This record gives sequence, C-alpha cells and structure tokens, in this order.
Amino acid sequence: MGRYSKYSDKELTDLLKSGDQPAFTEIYNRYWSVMYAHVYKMLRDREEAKDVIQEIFSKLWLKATEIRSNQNLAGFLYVAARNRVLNLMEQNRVRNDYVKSIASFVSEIDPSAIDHVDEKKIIQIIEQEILNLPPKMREIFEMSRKENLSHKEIAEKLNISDQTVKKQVQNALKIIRPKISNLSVFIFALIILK
Amino acid sequence: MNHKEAALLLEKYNKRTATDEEIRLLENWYNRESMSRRFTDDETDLDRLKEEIWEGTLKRSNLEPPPCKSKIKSSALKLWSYSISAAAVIVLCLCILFVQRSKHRFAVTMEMANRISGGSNRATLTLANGRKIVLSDAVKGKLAEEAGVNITKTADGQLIYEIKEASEGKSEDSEITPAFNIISTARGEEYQVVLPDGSKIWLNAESSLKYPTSFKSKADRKVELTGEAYFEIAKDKAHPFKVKTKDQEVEVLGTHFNINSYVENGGAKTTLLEGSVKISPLGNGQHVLSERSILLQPGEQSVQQGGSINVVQANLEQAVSWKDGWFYYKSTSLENVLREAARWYNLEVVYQGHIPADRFTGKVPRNASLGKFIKVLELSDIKFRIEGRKMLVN
Repeated sequence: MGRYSKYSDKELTDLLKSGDQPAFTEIYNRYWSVMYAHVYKMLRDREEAKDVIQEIFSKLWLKATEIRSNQNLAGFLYVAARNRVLNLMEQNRVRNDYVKSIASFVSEIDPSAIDHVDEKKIIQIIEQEILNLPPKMREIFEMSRKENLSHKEIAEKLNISDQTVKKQVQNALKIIRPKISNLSVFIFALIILK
Repeated sequence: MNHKEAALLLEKYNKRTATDEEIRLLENWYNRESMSRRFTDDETDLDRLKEEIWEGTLKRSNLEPPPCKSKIKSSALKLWSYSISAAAVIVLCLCILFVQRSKHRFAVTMEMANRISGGSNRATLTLANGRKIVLSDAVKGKLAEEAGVNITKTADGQLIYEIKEASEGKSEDSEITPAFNIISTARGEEYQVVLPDGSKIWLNAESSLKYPTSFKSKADRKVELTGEAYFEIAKDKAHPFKVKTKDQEVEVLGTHFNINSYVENGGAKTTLLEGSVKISPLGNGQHVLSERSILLQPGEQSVQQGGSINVVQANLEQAVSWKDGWFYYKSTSLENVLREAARWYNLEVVYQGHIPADRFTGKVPRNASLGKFIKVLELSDIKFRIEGRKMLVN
C-alpha cells in the first residue's frame, strides 16, 4: 500500500491496464472522495451517487485495457461521472429544474464566452472541485495524493507557474486552518507537497 | 431557449447526436452548475461510506476483497450487521485486524486464548507394518526417506510430503497382500500430500486417508477417506480413482473436487470444481449401489444421506476455502462455526444453557489465534470463556 501511494496517476494507469488490483485500490482511495462529492452535489441523492461511483470505478477496472496510457486518470473518471449524471438527469423528468437551468443558461450566455471543454480544462475543474471539498474530505484527498503530485507537476499540468500553485496552497491552508482540529497531520501533507 | 428545447439538447447530448456547438453549450452549463453548488459534508462516517462504495465496486468488478494487508490503511471497519428473518446475522469482518476496535475485552480469556494458535502443517503416517511417523516441518532426510516420503518445499513455502512409489521388491509383495499406509491429521493439523500417481490431496484437520503403497499393477486407484479432503486427481483413464468414505464411493477420472465427510456434519458432501465424478451410495458401507449412482457436473454439490444422494448448486468458494486458509461462513449457525473451530483449535465446546441462534456470514483467516477468532465472534454479543482446552459458550 505504501508503495502504491507513491505512484503517479500515470504509473497507476499503466499498472491498472496490466490488471494490477492494488493499483485499482489505490486509484479508488485517491479519487473516490472528490468524485463522490461531485456526483452527490449534482444528483442530491446519496444512493444514486453511490451507485454512480460504483459504476464508474468498476467500469474503470473492467475496461482498463481500453484506456489510453497517456489518458489523464482524473479526467477520465470525471468525464465518466459527468456522462452518467447527464444521463440520470435526462431520465429523471421529475426534476425539471435542470431543464430550467439549461434553458436559462443557453438563453443568457454570450456565445463568445463558451469555450471547448478539453482535458486541460477538466483538470482545472477537478482541482477546483478539490479546493471546494469540505475540509475533512479535502484533508483525506490531499493525504491520499500527497506523495504523487508536487507543486511543479500541478503547475505543469495546469500550465501555470509554481508560485501560483504555492500561493493557492497557502491560501487553502489559511481557509482550512481554523476548521481543522488535527492540524499537524495536514501540515505534514503540505510540506510533502512542496 | 424554452424548456422543451433544453430537454431535447440534453437528450441529443446523451445520444451523441448533438453538434459540436451544442456539446460545448451543455458542457459549459454543466461546469457552471457544478461550480455553483457546494457539497456539504453531512456524512458523519466517511470511512464507512468509502467502504460501502468500495464493496459494491468490487462486486461489480467481479473482484474479491483483497486480503488483510492492503486493507489496513483504508482504516475502515469492514463490519456491518443486518438481520435475516428473525435470526440476527453478524457479518464478520474480512480482516481480523480491524477487530482490535472491538469494545469487548475479557483480559483473562484473551490471554489464554491468544496462546492457542490455529492448526499447523502436520500429520501422522502409519506404515503398513504399524510403525507410526510424525510428519512435521522438523522431519527431514533419512527418517522421512525410510518411510518412502520425500519432503519438498513449494515456492510459497508450503511443505509437500510426496509419497514415493514403493520399491520393486515390496511392490511384488503387495500384489499378494496389498499393503496400505494411512496418513492422518489430528485436531489442529492439516496437511498436503502428493500421491505416487501425481494426484494432490489436501487433508483438513481430524481426517485420514488410507492408500495403497503402490498404485502399480492395480486396476483402479482406491483410497479411503474420513473427515475432509480436497482432491486434484491426475488424469489416468485406464485407472479410475476411487474415494471411499463411510457410506459412499466417488469414482473419478481426472478432476478437482472436495469431500466433506465429517460424521457430525451428517452425510458426506462432495463438491465438484472440474471434470466429472460418479457418486454411489454404499450398501452396508461396503457394496456399491450402482443403480443409485449420480453424475456430478462442475459447480454442483452432492449431499449423501443414508442411501440417497441429493444434488444442489454449490458455493465453490465456501467448499474449498479451508484449503486456501479461510473459515468461510454464509449464514452459518453458531454450532457449525464452533464445530469447525473446535477441530482447528483443538477445543471442546461446552454450551452453558441453550445454543444461541445467531448466524454468521464472512471470512476469517485460519491462521488467526483463537483470541482473535473469539473477538470476531464476540461482536455478536455471545460471550466465550476459555478454560484449558474447553470453550464455554454463554
């Protein structure tokens, strides 16, 4: 387990493609929380959210060979979750507040403000989702990937400077500090992040 | 855009018939929508939620929960209980380590129980001339060789006691008076053996296997079993392999199967994993009643009771889990749980008062000490006390 937590997402993806079960467990440990939080807030239904998470992770395992090895793992999971959520939104006619929201968005949006949602954009979205997690869940998430993403890697992925990432992490710490009782653990995670 | 058009957009997106522009529109909406919402942490037990989702994920992925090691870090109690009908069902944790969280602590019992470990790889070989040899990790070299046993170690460290074909001189003798050896395990012992024909046999605790010193010049390969064993029989169409237990005979050509014929469990249960076997009840424990024979398909289990044999769908994992080092329970009564444990930990079970009606589901590693085993069972509110080799149940 210790060894696997040190692997990068890409290394885990390659192991997963070769049918490595501990890699699958590590991917789940790393991403279940942020994916669950995302799906839950979109569906507002605990059982449905659990079902979606089980579905996207089991598909990840069963269809691992179909994943491109340069595929961004978090992005892959996010897109799978989004597709499923949109499916469920369509099926569930009762909640037509989605339809209402789509209609007003399309009516009001400035077409020039619409950009293509590519992989880079999705990675940004996920980072944002992580920042928006409730402190406890965020702590779990940060701990789970403390060893595989340095500031530099995040910066490269997001195409921004290390300094910006460092600043964001520091900002995050300020926000979280008053809320976390077990501070020492979290600080440890951030030191590793540097 | 009106609502109808919005619903149509969503539908087209899901059907993958939307244009690039429509896709962009909807995905932009989705992002804005998700960013405008906050996930509020109303979940009090994240560890539990994480485990629940993981359980379902494994099931849908057709995966088994991994063994203890990789579970430790996930720090979640793999433990939940539910009820089936009136009986309380306790789901045992898959990893006994989590049981350390158990609130039940009975220091004295635990101290004694922790000293009692589960069974070991050990057996007694009784030669045709009556000589007894204890086969354990310690027996190597000459002593074993004299007895026609070759001890080898497999890659994963398991000891295999390979019985050599008896020498030619003896083999001629045995044609006149067939010689048999008996390998037997006591309570708390298990044992893996490779017969001269290459067949592999796992012998569970308190079991015995009687086999001829040589299979050469015999029409069939006939062995006798008491207790429980798992067989992987080497293919040899000319010499069918036959396993005789108290009231039945199983005839095979080349196959994998398990026979559980512990007397106190009622009739023998034969579980077939591969190949095919023919099972015949024995009249007076001697003569094959071939008119009542049945053929078993892989995945089936036969339950022999008296002169009749019934066939049911088997839980294969359950039937052979013992040889892979697990106790496996599926809505198993306390009586059956403790019967198996008694054989493994060499205990005498004493019920003080009526036998609790609890049923158990789950897996526990057989290498757990008795103390840890008891801790798992005590999650059901049943109390146990250990006095010497007696287990008192309240």
